Amino acid sequence: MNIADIILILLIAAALVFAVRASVKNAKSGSCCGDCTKCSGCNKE
Amino acid sequence: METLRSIKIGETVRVEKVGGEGALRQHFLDMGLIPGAEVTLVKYAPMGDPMELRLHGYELTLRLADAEQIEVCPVAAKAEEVKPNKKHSKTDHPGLGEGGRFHAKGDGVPLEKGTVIRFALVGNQNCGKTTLFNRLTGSKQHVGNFPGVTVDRKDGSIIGHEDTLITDLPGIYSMSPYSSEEIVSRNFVLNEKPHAIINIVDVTNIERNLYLTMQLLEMNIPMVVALNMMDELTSNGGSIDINQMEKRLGVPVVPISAAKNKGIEELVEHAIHVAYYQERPLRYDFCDKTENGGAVHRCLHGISHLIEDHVEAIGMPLRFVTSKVIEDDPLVIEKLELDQNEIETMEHIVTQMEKERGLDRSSAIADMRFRFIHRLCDDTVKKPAESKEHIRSRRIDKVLTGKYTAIPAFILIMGLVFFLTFNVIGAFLQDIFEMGVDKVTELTDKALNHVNVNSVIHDLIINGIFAGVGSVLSFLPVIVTLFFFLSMLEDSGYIARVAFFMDKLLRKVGLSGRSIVPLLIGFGCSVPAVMSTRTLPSERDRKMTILLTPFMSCTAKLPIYAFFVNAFFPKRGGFIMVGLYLLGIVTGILAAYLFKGTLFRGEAVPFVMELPNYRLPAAKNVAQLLWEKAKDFLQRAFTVILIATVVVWFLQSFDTHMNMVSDAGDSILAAIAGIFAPVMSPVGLGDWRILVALISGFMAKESVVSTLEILYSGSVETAMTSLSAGCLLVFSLLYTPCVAAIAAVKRELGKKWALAEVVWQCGVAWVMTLIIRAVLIAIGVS
Repeated sequence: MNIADIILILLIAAALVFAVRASVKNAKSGSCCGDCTKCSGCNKE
Repeated sequence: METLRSIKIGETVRVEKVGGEGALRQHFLDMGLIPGAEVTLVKYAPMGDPMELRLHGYELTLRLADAEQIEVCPVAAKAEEVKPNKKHSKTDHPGLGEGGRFHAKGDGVPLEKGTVIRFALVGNQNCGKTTLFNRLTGSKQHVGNFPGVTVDRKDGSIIGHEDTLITDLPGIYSMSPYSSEEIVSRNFVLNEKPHAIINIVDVTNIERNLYLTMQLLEMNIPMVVALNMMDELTSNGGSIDINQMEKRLGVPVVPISAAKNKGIEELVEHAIHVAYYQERPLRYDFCDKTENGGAVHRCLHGISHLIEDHVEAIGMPLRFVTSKVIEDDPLVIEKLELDQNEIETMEHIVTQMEKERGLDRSSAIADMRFRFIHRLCDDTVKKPAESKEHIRSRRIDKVLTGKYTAIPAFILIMGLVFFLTFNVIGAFLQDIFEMGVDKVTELTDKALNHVNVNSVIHDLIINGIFAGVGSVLSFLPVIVTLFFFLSMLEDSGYIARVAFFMDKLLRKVGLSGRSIVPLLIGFGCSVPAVMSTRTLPSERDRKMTILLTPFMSCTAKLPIYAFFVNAFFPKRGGFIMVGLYLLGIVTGILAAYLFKGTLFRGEAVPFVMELPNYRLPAAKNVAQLLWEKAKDFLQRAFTVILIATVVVWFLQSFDTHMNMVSDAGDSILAAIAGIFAPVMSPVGLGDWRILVALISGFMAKESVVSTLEILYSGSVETAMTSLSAGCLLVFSLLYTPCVAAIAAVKRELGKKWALAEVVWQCGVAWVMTLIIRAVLIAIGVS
């Protein structure tokens, strides 16, 4: 295994972490019913 | 008594009585169909139903069955009304919402320093709220030209005022919600208690827009009225006495043009001022003591005193609650917890008012509001005879919604869209893109060989990531091109017309014309299509439309079609593409018939919809939408599809002992997919690689192609037969929508429906593939 292999593995791992994070974030955004006091559907604080 | 149904084209009649009951009747009244209103029949839809009416200066569609409930009487033939060239008398500027005038009285209680000022942006559908929101916040929300583009609230802070939060709400016609997205807006204003409301009013249709304004004034929340599209009004020779209107409404009135970015700064200044100093409307009492014997006036004030203590206890605005109680709004009445005596007293007061006024309770309240609006508009608004935009729309509609031309024009337009997308523009750009992707792959391959990269990593990058993500990326131009045409149709106002003339056809399968909007959006992407069903006023129609959306083939499936058509049926590409789209539509129609007779018995909702003027789509809006779609596609390619390709590569390269395999048939993936093989063998899709591709397609449809490219090591054409390619095309067309679409279904209908959708679509796909396979074998495809 040479330095290029190590760099490529790190790059691929970083890309995968980023991809998983972005996918999870996208899946979270919900829609709104207008009643924020009783609902947390959109995950707003 | 004559009804609206029986009048002739071009005839003008006066509404005598509005029949029907419940929310629909209230909706008729809120749209301005009140006793006394003059209505002209413009035309019938090409299939004879619904009808297009003109009232209060705008176009409304109504089904014949609903028109039958509205009693009318002829308007005596009158000479064309010639209004003297009205000149507004000079009115002092009331200075509301400005420092020193109203605030100087000292009755404003300012918010605490540092408070984030919350605004609600409220207005009728298609009056330009989202355009104004984008101007105020610098955001890039999608705008369109048909009622109901915004189905969800959107938040942002005003540029240069970080301590503000403005919420763009779906359009509403009144505070009596008729559809679920209207409930979002009403709930927000009532429950979230924004510090101020920015009420946007379309001045080209001012009477109907002010109807909502009057109800918002009753909420007693600080408010600014933004008169939008002033440029359109003035360029057609119209004008508004702003000072006089401001004085009469008791809130700041600011003329703006959101599309041309005019008047925005002044609007922001006024809005922040009224919100910060909590300057409430100077008046919300619009009933006239002298009008019709003062029956409505006495009723409103009598009930207002009767329920005052209950209203204070629940913290709602008194005048708003009083109006709702008289309109018999069950949600509000229930909240008040009135005792029997009070309910009976209230009923006596209302009955007396109905007797004296000669109108039922809801009509009397709507009439009182419209009378004030007419007086206000008579005194302050100089209307143009007919706007250039309306004349243009009328001319275009002669062809696009004409009796004999509407359906052929629709088929021609859609045919042209698909032809240009798949055969001309999109295909040309795709070839260029493909060449680019191939070149980058080749260069990367050379570079990796040059630095002696480990063979496993080399395989992962070239045969995994580049083969997978690269193959999907090349379809970007086709997808963007199709979205370009769909957005042009939407922004121009044509889709609203399609809903108008398709209503009768859709009713045969149990839907209303309004369902055509989500279904057409479904050809782009199922996620916004599912969301846009919120504009449908009935739960039954919403559920049914959501379940039918996946039958409209989305753009994410295009890579699958294009790939297999090029590889297996290059000479009949166009025919097969169109055939697949038609197969989806026909299967959807069959499913709709099935739903109509089983799960969703009953009638579709009435078709009451406004027809907007045609507008030339703004280049900036179209470019913005295309960029958003391209960005979304690229994001998916580098997230979901990247993950899927790496996972697929890993599972097909290693066995259960984590040893790299030379034959992918020994891999983990082959073992997992083998479990499903017996189920899929009858439809000709028993190969484990095809099964894996279909499973990865659940994450994102585009990854079906990328997965097959990896698993067949780039030689799909030689490894599969034309028969299995045909079966795979049909199954891909109809099987479960992707996870993002299922998540949208879950949000709208809940877990059970989402799960049922997955199972149902897979079942339908299996059955249809079995049938098509038998047909293909019968005609000699092997």
